[in-house]
Amino acid sequence: MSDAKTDLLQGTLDLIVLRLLRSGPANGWDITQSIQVVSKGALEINYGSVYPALRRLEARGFVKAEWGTSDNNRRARYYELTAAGRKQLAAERDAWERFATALGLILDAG
Amino acid sequence: MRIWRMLTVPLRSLVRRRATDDELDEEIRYHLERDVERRMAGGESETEARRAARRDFGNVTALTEEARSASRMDAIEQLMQDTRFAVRSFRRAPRFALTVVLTIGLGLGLVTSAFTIFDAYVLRLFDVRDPRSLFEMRLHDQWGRERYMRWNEYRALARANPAFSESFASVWIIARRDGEPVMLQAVTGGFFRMLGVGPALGRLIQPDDAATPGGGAILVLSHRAWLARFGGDSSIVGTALTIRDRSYQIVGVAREGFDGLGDTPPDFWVPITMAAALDDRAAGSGADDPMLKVVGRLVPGMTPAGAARALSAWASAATADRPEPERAPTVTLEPRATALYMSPATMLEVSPLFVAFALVLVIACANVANMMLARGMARQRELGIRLALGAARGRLVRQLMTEALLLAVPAAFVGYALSRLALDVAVTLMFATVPATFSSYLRVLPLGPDIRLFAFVVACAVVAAVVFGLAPALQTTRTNVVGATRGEFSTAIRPTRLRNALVLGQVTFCALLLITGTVLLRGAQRLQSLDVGFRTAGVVQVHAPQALRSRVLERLQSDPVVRAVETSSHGAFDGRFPQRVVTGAPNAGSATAGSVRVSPGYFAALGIPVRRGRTFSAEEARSEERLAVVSEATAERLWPGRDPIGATITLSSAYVGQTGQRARVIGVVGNVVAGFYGERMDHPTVYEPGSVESNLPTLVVATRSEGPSSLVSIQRRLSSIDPSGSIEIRTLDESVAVQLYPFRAAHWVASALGAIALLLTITGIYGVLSFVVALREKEIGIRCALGATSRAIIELVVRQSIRLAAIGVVVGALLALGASRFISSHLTMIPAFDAVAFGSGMVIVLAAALAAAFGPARRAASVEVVESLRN
Repeated sequence: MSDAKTDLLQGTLDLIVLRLLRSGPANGWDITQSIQVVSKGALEINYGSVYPALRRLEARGFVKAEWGTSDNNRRARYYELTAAGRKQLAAERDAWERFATALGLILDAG
Repeated sequence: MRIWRMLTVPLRSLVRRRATDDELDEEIRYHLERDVERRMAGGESETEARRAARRDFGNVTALTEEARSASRMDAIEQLMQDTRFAVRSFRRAPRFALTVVLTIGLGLGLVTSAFTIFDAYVLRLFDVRDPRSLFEMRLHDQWGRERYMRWNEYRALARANPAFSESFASVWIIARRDGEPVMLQAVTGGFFRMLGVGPALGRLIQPDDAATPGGGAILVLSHRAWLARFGGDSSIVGTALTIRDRSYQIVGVAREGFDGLGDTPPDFWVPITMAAALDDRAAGSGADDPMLKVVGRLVPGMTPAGAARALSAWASAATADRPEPERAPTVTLEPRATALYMSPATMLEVSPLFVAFALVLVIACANVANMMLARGMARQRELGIRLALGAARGRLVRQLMTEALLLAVPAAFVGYALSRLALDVAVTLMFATVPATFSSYLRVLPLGPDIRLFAFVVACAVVAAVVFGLAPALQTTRTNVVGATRGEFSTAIRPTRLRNALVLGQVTFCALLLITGTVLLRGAQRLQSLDVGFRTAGVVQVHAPQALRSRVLERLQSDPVVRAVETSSHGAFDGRFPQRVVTGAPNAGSATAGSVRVSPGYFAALGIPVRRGRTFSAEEARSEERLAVVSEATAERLWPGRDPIGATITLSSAYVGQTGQRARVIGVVGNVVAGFYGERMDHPTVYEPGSVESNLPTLVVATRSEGPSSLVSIQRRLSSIDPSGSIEIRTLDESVAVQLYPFRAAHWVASALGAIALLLTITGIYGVLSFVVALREKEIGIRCALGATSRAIIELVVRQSIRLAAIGVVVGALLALGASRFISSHLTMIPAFDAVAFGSGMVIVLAAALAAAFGPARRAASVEVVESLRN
């Protein structure tokens, strides 16, 4: 796995997943569909990489998971934001905005 | 709750690894199926849909593996990262790391030493077959007092067998050989077989050896005695050994690691049939029947309570035809799986002792917590930046806790090594300081380490790390991110309250330990000058085997340093006199009294005052007339307000099968301590006449001078008739010193704990004040600039220390009040409130706090005004 690219992607994907979970519990497949819909297909990601992201977030205590029944009556694992996850989302969002603003300033300065 | 979660999330994912692996597979299966369904609903064929779903998903195997490791690698990687980081930061501050390790190590060492002894005596199971089913049986008379079992009773018990599948009886005997005491345990024939103990050499005692009374003159060595006394020489088996004029054949050595079933390891085992020949106490008192201790193995499936009921029923039936004091209606059972049995109630009673040791560890933890706090303040910039960069607070707390735990590991090693050293030194010191005549009687169980001990040290170290690490970790990570990014660090954290609480706690516990130590010290001193009712200086007690008695007496009487030689049936300070029921016939009360037979000059030799009437004449003593001299306490109990002279008393027999004896009271003498030193003087005592020439076992020798020269002279004169060293010569002052020893030892331990606590507290206060002064440098500079004198600055700092110390000392004194109440309820010579001890303890702690504040205060006074304001 090459470092710089995955690191960036990893961080970004984690943020995206956190954001999508803010509107309520969802399972992995739901999240992949939401990414497609919300980004209007602009983001090219492997659906499968959502799962490592979910596990990472779970390990750090930002989301918690429970088995539930999906809308087509099958067992699926549902993820939900924790209080720590909400805080993390806010913090990462701030950090992202600061970064984006700073980058914008630098790029525009030239 | 949240802290718990922060710390345990990675741990849980480690533990639950297998479950999440299965879950992950199921989850991914669900995703793929769901995607296939979606595509087929959109009109794709099943094969097409499957291919597309897999393509969109990416490499299933690789991603599964990545997800799998994401949950656990995170935990392990973080741990590794934290460890590397911590080690790096210790390398930058080696003095800090070293101080923490040594401070915590010191506290751990003390606690571990205490636990080692507790472990050896209370927790470690005997290395015998099924130790948990072994119980010691105790007979009690109707007043609940313990009563030993007699030989015939044991034989009857072994036949009736109401609760034990097997049992053995034993007697402890102390004999003298080569001037040294030897501890012998006389046992019934089944002893070794029942315990499953085999020989290291030769053979052990078998049932045949203990079949006929007076027969079976054989000896089994304990492995320890074999090494210590015979240098592990295997040719010793088969040779003979003389003890008390009788030759015993050494038949074998018991296997290593077997030290009997008690708190004192015996040197030799002999068949119980030899007990009477070995024990000279039995000879004079007429009790040729040994007093047995019985240990049995419970019948499988029987509860101890049920067994005690069955044995009680048996004992009350078996003793029903005896005179009243002889009956034994109750039997209690005590587990014999460990050297000392402690019921939960007893454990609770000794727990203050462990609390004292634990308090030193707590003080050490408080010291380190304060150091961590100070370090956390210094690292605020680093922590603040990391928080600002998005590090979760839980992650930082975890990292700081990793540091604490990493410091606790070497501290555990230091603590363990210290405890080994401390125990070695303590045992050596004990043998060196105990009165010389007693040191050869002293036996210590092996204090070797075991798995329990290691578990204890590690557990204590982890708990200590949590105690000293968690509070500072939580405090210092409470940084305000906004402030930190602006560069405002010092205002962000103000852990003054926590710091003050830590110092306060230290001072409190230190005062508690010091005051309690002083109370014990003064108790020991008071005990030293305790009135026992007779003279101890210049009095020597001699115990000689019956065969040598007349020659010993002759030598003593012709010795010019000897003023008088008297005799008694029971030595002073040799345990309680045999108890008998005394009834004042016909219309007076009755009482339990210690009874002793003495020669006429006994009272004069010991300086016991005659209050009324007279003592025995030589003629009365020779014919052992039915006369009695009673103590004042006896007279008060039986004939309150009346003259006892001429009254008749009945003494119930102390021995089996004899009826009560009548005696006429001819005199009243002063009260004495009729038992161990420190016992009460108002317990009734009754004296009966005996002559010096009779066979009473104790010779009481009053010397002309009180110096050690007369003892040396007596020893020299007696050694010529007894080259084998079987005569025991001991001054009463020595006996007192021996019995005082435990109190002195307790005071030493308490003082040592107090001193260490004081040292830790002084360094703690010093450290905190130094830190506070450094922190307030700017403020102090301003004060100076505004005209404060250096005297005022010193006062400022010292006042802060004294205020904390004063509160701590008062709280500590209140706790000590509770502690000394508790102690005084157990030891009569300790008062519930000892003003001098409390006063001096409090003054010492306050003075220490003042001294600790002095250095930082001077540094504060010498703050360079311009320098501090510029910074």
